Amino acid sequence: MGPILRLLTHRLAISLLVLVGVSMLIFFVARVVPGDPARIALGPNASQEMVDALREARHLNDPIIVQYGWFLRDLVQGDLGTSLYTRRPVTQDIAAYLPATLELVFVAGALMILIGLPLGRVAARYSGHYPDHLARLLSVLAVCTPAFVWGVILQLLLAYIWPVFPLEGRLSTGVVAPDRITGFYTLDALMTGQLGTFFDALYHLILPATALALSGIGQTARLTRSSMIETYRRPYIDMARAYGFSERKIARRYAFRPALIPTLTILGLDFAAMLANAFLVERVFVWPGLSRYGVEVILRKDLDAIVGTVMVIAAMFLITNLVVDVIVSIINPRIRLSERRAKS
Amino acid sequence: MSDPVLNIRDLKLAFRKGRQVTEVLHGISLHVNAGEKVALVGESGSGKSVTAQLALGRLQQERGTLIEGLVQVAGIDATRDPRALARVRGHRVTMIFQDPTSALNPVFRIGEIFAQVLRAGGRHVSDAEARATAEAALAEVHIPDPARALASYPFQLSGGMNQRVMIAMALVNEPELLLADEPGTALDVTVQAQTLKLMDEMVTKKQAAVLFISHNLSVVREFADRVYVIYRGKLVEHGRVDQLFGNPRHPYTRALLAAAPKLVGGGLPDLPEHEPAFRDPLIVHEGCGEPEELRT
Repeated sequence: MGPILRLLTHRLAISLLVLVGVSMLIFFVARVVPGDPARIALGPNASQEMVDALREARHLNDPIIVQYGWFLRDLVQGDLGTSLYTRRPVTQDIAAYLPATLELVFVAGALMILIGLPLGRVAARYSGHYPDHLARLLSVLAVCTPAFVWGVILQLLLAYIWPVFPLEGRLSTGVVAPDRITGFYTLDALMTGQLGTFFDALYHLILPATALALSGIGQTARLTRSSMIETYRRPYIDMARAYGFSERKIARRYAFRPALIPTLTILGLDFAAMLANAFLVERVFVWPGLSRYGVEVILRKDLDAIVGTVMVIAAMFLITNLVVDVIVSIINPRIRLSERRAKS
Repeated sequence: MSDPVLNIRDLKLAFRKGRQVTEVLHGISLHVNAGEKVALVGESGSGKSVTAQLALGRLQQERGTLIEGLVQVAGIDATRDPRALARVRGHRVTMIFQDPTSALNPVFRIGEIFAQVLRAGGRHVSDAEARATAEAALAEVHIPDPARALASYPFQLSGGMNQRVMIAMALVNEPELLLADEPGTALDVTVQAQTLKLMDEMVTKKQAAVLFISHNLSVVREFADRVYVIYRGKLVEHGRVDQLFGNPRHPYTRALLAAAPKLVGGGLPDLPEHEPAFRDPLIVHEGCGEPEELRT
């Protein structure tokens, strides 16, 4: 078995355990919080009999541990229960809302990498000079302003005062959503050959993705900068210079690759955190995403939907970490090879 | 006689930090002729490493560095034309470092680093050519399985192996001048001795001139033709190895020789009683005077 595959199976097993732990935690915490979900779902005008009937139907009168048993039984059948708010199966809700959030987060993640890394690299290369000061100022500004503030600022500037971008939503009115293949409008439009829809979806993604990504871009740039500066002090960079490697090559490859290792881990965490933090940006841009759904169901104490949403977000966290670990072990031969050594 | 590959005249070097200026080299002159092995010996902080840095053109572009005098490397004026010097780094002038393992990038295979060295100065070398040349170069420094070494990462090889790789890299482009800054001091003594012997063998074979920078006189004795002794940014004595070891004339040189057998923790006396001696002119042994034509 290859070392990467070994790492993968090992981490998958741990992830599964973590997921079970998360499910227990959220299951119990959601139920301990005061408030009767049946009453909230039925509203103040419903009779006590109706509320009692709903509580009975949802097993809410059973001891919590028994309720968890029901939950596990349904879970292994791929059933996360039914939302009291949308009155649809939770899995169906998640399938409807998750792609919108993922699409947003992926574009934001791409922006983090495509803008944050080069910005940090330039800052490190010109450390102490004008480009560095500029990059640092921008990063600090980006990091300390919350994403929803960026959302409002961007909306105000680029959608209202100078309307180059759409204000909200995933598509313009009149544009029909492409047939669902992945749930990502951009991908689905491309796969069905609807270029117009693709550009419209992309156009709608730019502002919310930027708002969501800005603090991540700032943090990536700062991390990359400090990691690169640290790497520039290493003897192997002296060696590279003594042997006439071009500064460009050093910045792009020779110092960049070792510097990337610590940055990547944090980048992965940032990326996963965006999934959960997207709700404010989704609110501002009326984006029909999972984070927004999560907030709605929490406010309504919609138990099954809360547990389902939290578990999906936790699973995304775990998957992101897994992917980052695999990438790091590919870049860092020390990890890759020590795995191999451990086996033999 | 051809021009020396390294020619340093009345070199003064100072670092400025804020308003404070610290002079670290107070006008030193030395030269290394083609194919010659010259050692520059002194304790840490004496200015020997900055001399190598200057010869490599690494300090010239940094802010706060004040340089006066002449540094000529392979016919290039290193103080006035650091860019031209940058173009010859890695092939006409190369360097060997204290700790070979940390001087090799840990996330690249030896083969990748080697290919990059072969491409120094912007020369075009195909991957296949690079591999063949690198394998031959590693075989020359007696690495048992060159192909395997090239496919390894630096941390998979021993320090001694990495030093052999470093020697091979330093000499593969047939440089005119090799700067060896305390080579292998990070290695253990036996391995260091082996690799120094190898380096000696290889530079003789490739006819490269060497400026060997060290604090260790016994190592220098084995290796060098001529020795300069530097103390607090000033050269104090200069002579052939036999002259210097047979008849050390400067009190500092004598102190260095006396301290040599104590490998660890010996340290040097601070020599306050000899202080006036450092205002004396440089002691030059017979036959080691600077060639007339080099005086400018």
